[in-house]
Amino acid sequence: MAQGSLMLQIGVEQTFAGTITNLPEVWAVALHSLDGQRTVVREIAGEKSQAMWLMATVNNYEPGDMSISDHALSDLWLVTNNARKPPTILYAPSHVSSPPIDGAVVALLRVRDFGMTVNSPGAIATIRRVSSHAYFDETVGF
Amino acid sequence: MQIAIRGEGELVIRFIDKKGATLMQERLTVSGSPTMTALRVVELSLRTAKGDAAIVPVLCSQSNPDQQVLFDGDAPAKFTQRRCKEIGCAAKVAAEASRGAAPPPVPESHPSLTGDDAVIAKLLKAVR
Repeated sequence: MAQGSLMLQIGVEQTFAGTITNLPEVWAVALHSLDGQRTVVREIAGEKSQAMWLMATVNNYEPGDMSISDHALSDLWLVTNNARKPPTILYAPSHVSSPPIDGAVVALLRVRDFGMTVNSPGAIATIRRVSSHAYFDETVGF
Repeated sequence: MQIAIRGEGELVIRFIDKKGATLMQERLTVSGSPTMTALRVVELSLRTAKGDAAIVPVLCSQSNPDQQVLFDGDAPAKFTQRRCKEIGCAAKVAAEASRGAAPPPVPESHPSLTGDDAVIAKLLKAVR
């Protein structure tokens, strides 16, 4: 069997009530079982929205500058039953079809985003959403 | 802690401290197929400007009642109850958290994004 047109999406939205000194990393995966036929990945993309304010909890303290990526880190792993065959790992962004990949039994979509720490009395106020999606086709092949 | 998900939908998890205050909220959305699975790994502590805080995950809502969720392999209510005991929550806080009740986060400084769960629920009810 082959499953035809498939999609995986995963998103994580974080809201913090107060100021923090450590913004945790984001790590999340979504998985879909395939039938071991031929897979062509049509699109992989990651999205990120974040508002952030670097501040200090005391007066007369300059917390410094901070820069953080506008993009989440997204990739799609296609894994076969053969433990000796390494997974095929495709990263985002990609908006054209991949070469055919044969024998995959699992598609794993991973999304990550950076963590960061500031030294007290510096503090971070933030809200963020990171997400990732992949569109792919499984067809009868090889 | 591992949050394991089977099936599509959106879920809201609030992370409370031992006093029952929500320090962080996560909204996890997955889609693809009814048989898909997902995994999210989170730390059960948060470094705030007021110091380190041990936190408890509380599964507050799910858009899809058929979606299955496990916290470290346990039913969310069971895990929440055990974690509440570990960090010394008051009995009332533990009882409410175990039944999925936790207050929404109230950002005490910028930025913020107001929750719209009630509005969405009302809209969906109207159109169904």
